[in-house]
Amino acid sequence: MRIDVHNLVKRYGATLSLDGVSFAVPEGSVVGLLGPNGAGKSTTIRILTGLARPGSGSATIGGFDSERDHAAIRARLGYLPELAPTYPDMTVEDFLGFMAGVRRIDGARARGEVDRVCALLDLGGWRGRLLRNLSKGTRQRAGIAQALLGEPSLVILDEPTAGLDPAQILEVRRIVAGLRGRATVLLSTHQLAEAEAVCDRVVVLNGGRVVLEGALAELTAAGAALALRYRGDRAALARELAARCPEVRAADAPDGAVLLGSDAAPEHWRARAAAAAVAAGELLALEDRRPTLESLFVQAVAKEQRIATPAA
Amino acid sequence: MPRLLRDTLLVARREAAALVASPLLYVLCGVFFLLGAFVFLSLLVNFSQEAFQDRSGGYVNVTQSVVRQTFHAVHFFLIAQIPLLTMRGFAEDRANGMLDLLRTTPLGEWPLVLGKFLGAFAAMAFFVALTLAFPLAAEAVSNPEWSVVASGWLALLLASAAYIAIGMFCSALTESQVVAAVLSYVALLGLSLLSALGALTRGTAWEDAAKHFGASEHIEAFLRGELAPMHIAYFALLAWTFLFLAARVLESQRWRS
Repeated sequence: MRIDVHNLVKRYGATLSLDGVSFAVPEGSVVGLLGPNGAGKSTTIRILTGLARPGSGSATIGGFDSERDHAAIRARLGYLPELAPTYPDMTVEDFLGFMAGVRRIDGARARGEVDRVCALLDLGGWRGRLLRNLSKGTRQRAGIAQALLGEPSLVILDEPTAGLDPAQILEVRRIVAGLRGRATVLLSTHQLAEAEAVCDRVVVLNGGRVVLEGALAELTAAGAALALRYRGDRAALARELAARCPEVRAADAPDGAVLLGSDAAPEHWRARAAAAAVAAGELLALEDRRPTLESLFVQAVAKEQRIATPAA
Repeated sequence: MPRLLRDTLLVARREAAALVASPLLYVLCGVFFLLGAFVFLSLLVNFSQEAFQDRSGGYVNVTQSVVRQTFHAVHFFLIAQIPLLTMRGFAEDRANGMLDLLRTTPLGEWPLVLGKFLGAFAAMAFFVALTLAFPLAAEAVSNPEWSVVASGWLALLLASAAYIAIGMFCSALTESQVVAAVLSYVALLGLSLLSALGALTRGTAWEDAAKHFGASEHIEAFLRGELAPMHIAYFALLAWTFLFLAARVLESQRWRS
């Protein structure tokens, strides 16, 4: 199910939670919804899941309007809220059976689905245990399991790896990545490494606005740079670069290298930059340096904050 | 099976199982039965003494002196216990996030409300069934009027249904179980004392209105053995109105957030 969010605005009293949020999630992709606390991630998710009404703007999921057609969306949605709510007085098996029932999965199919998600989340040994007696990580896995019951075509996971140990985190990432192509997955997370590991695309929110959106591969390629290590005069290098490749920007990196970047891909100016370095001194190394999601995130959020507070 | 019924039974089973798993149910049940038994035995001893000494001039009646008074007391025990049983209803689900999770599933508000109501009602029906022991014990010393006993039971069941619906409504209003219980106590005590408050305005339209809207007059009629449709309709309407309001509150909360 494709998600299209158009100009969502949501205000809670005097606080503007969403300020014209727009983004798209292609069908079958895994998209990370990122942002600092208070960025608007939870509000966006609440609107998409039909738990809140937008002040203005719209969100459509598989062509269904989130406000008008919430019944159709709920029939196709698997949702894990933050902190994985469960009934502590139920066993894992009874809880999953109950959730299968409320998702209109009956009889033998329900039992099959409970078996499937228990196997997928490695809950086999815990099926007969009361949820109140389980560790936070196991309860979290039970929460993820209920979201995957019935193979929903849209899965929204809010901090799915919170409380899990490193091995379990890797396992959940593998499961989420395995949903690619079979379901549209919207993953809200604070863990940038997690988004980088499993997401095709990211949407970064800050202060209720989208500050970065796109396919991860394209975003990192667009920010690609070369790290130049050379021996010689820095001013001479600047002169040579300005003469040979004027479209290239140079900045000093903390590790002593000179970072070269441009709106054009590095393959268009790599040879000319190398020639400039040779002309200005001795070229030691010229390495590709792609930005990480973390650096893109920090840049996007910092830029947004500078715009919001120009005096700072 | 229609979807509404299927979903309602699903939630009712879960609620009943949660109550059975809760120590609170056993504490309430024990207190309810022990208090009922204490009142019944006190009345029965008093009745036996009066009958033995024949101080009443031969007019002592076990139904009036023991069974009816016991049912009156049991009715007040219901008022004391139902808010404790219903306070967790929606308040607990809202506090632990389950309410939001269920709202993202195809389950609607009505099956949720009706299912929770039925689960709590099943527990209260079990409590009320325990009072069967009292007229059976009275049978050992005298002959209670079983028609009055039956209408008294019906009164307790109908009152339980109405009071549980009120408790569910109060639970839907808040995230705090304590606040839900306090609201329920205020509502149930108000309903029970309405007739008495109305009597303060003797001779006015308020007195008549308070008599009709208060629960006491209807309970009293049942305990006299009157099975008039008006009294049955009163409790049924009360239950339906508050279940409807609970469902509307849940619906409106969805769109207020």
